[in-house]
Amino acid sequence: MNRMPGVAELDCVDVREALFAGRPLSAAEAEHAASCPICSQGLPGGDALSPSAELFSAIESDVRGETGLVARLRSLPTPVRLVVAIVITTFLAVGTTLVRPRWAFGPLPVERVTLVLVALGVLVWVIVWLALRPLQAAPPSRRLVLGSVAAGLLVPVLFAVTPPNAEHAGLDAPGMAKGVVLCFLFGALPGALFVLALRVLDRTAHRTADAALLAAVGGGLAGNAALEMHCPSVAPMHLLLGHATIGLALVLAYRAIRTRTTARD
Amino acid sequence: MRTDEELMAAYIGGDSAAFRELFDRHSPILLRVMRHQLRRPEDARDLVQQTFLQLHRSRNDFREGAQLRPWLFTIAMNLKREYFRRAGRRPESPLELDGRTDPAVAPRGHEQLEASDELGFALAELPEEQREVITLHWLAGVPLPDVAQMVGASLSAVKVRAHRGYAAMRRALGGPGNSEGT
Repeated sequence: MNRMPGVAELDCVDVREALFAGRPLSAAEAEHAASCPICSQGLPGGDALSPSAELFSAIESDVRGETGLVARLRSLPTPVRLVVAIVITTFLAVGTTLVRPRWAFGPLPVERVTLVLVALGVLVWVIVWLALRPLQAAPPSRRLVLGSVAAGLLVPVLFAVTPPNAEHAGLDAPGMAKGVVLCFLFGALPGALFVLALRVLDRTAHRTADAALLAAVGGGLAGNAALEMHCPSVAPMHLLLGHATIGLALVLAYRAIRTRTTARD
Repeated sequence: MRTDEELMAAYIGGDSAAFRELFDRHSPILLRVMRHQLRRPEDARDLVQQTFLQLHRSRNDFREGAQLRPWLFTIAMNLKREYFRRAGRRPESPLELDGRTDPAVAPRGHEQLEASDELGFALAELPEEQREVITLHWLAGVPLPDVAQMVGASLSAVKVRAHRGYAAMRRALGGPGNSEGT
């Protein structure tokens, strides 16, 4: 790095790193340390604050309160929490399918259904991985988080507006409004349960905004996966309003709930 | 004396006294780091409390060979980042940095308070990325490679932030800076 004439040759970084490494300061480093208002403040820990016993009592009380199923789930190793989340997602999708299975595959080829389920599954996996990332790991980049959120909201829209068979596009137009509402509710239920499951598995109980946002988007994807195995409609308007909006609705609803909860706290 | 990692292993094995020892060892520096960035002492205290609760919840992630200190400080930094995001505010000048208003912190000498306040203000003036690095490197005594790991940036990026941050602080404190601005 360039230095101005007459200015100390070394930076605080060099002095600090020398101290951390446990090696004695060179003459130039010692000269810098003596003239620098920062380095002359002493070594790390020199003016550390002394916490009171009261603070430890509060922590001890928190730790003693960590009992029950939720606490056990949150304390599981992260790879196990990830597996639990995926098992729950699968259970929700399969469970809703068993309750009301898809009555026809006619308008949609099996290849298309497979493609949709694989795409949704991959996105759910990425979102679960990001949402359950432990706090001791460096945070993921904002670009990755926002990209995943955007993909989670837009991929269902993309599938909705690109029906595989145009001649079936207006298949259920007469009863569309009722069908939209029923499908929305049918998909939103497993979606909400997915959000709840991730909240239980999240070690901060969704105090972190990104984890909450990701969970809501993941809920939309889980709901869409369940609907894929339930609803045979390929009408773009039905898919757009009844399926693809679940993610956005969960994001808005969960945001409102969290805002109210935070305000109350 | 047991190392941090031995204490953590003991705590995982059920030795609750080891947790107290980890608290005694790391909470002073964590409190200092937090109080240099938060206006209200009770918020700093709350974040330290949350950090140790998260350490407890994460205990089963801890593996042999891992270092505890980067773990603990990464948790603390993530919680602090979320605190600012949730509150929708930037780190502020540490107006209540002197420890006189916080029952959780033992009082310090007058000269120490004045020097600490000046440094605290200089630190508070830095851009957030530089402040985070300087806080960990200077206040917490964490070597730069570990800082890089904690903030999720490359070592070279963290070095640049540190050099620029220290230079800006030296200028603010009336000492020599260098030509590279912030």
